[in-house]
Amino acid sequence: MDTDIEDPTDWPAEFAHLRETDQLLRCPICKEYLDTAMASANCGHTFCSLCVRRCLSQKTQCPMCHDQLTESDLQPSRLIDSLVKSFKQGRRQLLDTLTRNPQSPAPAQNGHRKRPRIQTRSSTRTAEGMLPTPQATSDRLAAADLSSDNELPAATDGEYLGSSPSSVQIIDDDDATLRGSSRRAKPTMVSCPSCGAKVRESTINSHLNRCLAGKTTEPDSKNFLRSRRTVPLSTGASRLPKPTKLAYKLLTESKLRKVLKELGIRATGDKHQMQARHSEWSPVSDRQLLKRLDVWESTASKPDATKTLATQRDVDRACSQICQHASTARRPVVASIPESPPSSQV
Amino acid sequence: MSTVTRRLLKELQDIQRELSEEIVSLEPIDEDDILQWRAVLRGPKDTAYENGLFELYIDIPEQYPIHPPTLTFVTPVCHPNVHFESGEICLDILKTQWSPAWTLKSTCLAIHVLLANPEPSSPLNCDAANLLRCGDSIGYNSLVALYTQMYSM
Repeated sequence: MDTDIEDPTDWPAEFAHLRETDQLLRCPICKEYLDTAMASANCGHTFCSLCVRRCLSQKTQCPMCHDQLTESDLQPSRLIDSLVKSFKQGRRQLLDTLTRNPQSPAPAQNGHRKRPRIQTRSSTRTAEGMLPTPQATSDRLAAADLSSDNELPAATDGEYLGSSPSSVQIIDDDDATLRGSSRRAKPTMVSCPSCGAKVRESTINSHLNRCLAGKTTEPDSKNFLRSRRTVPLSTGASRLPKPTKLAYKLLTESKLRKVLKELGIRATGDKHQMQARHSEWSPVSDRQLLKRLDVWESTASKPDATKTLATQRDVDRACSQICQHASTARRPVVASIPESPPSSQV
Repeated sequence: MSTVTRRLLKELQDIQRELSEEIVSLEPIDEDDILQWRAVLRGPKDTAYENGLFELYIDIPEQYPIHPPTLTFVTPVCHPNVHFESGEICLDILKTQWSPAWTLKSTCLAIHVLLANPEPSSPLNCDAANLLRCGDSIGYNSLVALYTQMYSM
């Protein structure tokens, strides 16, 4: 059960700095890696966009320091997003290298040097972080067998540039095969920013074109297609509806019901239920997540959690697929949330 | 996997790998139910609770961590902020000052600190609180030691 749960304690205790780095890149609320990081403009604490919006809907306080915080004080933190992305990509590999074979291909001199360096990093951080000597760079490469997609300070080698994460999106198919195949036997899999499916790096562009045109043919895209049925097929990720704030108190029940219907959300129950449903929806704001909303409602409103376990587990299984889509599909939508205070709409 | 399950599994993994010495155990009561936990705290050193083991029942809402868990003492505890019969705990971080950044582990540590640092101005156990408010620390400590010996050793 623990196999897919990643945790800072995955790092061996002697690599305390890596453990700390891992911890720092996580959201204090969900304890996952920061997803679309948003920082508070007042106190600087950083959370996942979705997590912090959920909290702020309950209480307008920073979850870390209890300072006053509203959604309009949140600012996207792109550097952290990139940091998380590259750390996640290199994590498995680095972890395998550190735990499974301490004596990596390069002989003892690495084992020798590596440990002291990490332990003394705090003292030499500035020197090493600012001016990575070619010696240190190649050393680290050999020791950890990194294929460049994590913490390379500056890609000085031309051959590594080809596979750096930022260039994955723009590389031409032919180019990628030419440069990529010479270095790696296994094809690199990247996840599609639109549907979340794992796709070969070399075919991501053609996949993305198909995906955005709504013609996905992946076997696991059943849910995706079904939930898309309400959207015109030509709708691209950039044209998903913008989340709007509603002044619930000013709305009559029938008006709120109409709004929900227009959004494609289930419009049953009394005003209070509809309001709860809409406020859960607004930070998520994606038609693909409507089903997850149903799950949320069925679990959140049950008074006795103990008697619903069997169904809860079924539901979990059923919704895990949707969540996979959601984690990536949400990105463009959340990014499109206006940074100025959202105006109330009636 | 729902958000709450995923987060609790993470916490469980973290707890299984390293547990501080104040907490003897912290785990779900039943393997099939991740929303009900049981914790055993060690009485804080240099207090009348020393050497005692205190069991807590933790009930976690579906909206965790947005909403706080409910913690109650199963072992009867003599403490100004703990109801002697129901085990209810009066602690701001369990009510108004809760933050989703707290974990079950940090919450248990907060209760451990509360044992050593009673707050007699908001009592659930008036007898214990009155002893403290009158400045009768000898009386308070021997009363606590008596109950600790009776129920938690």
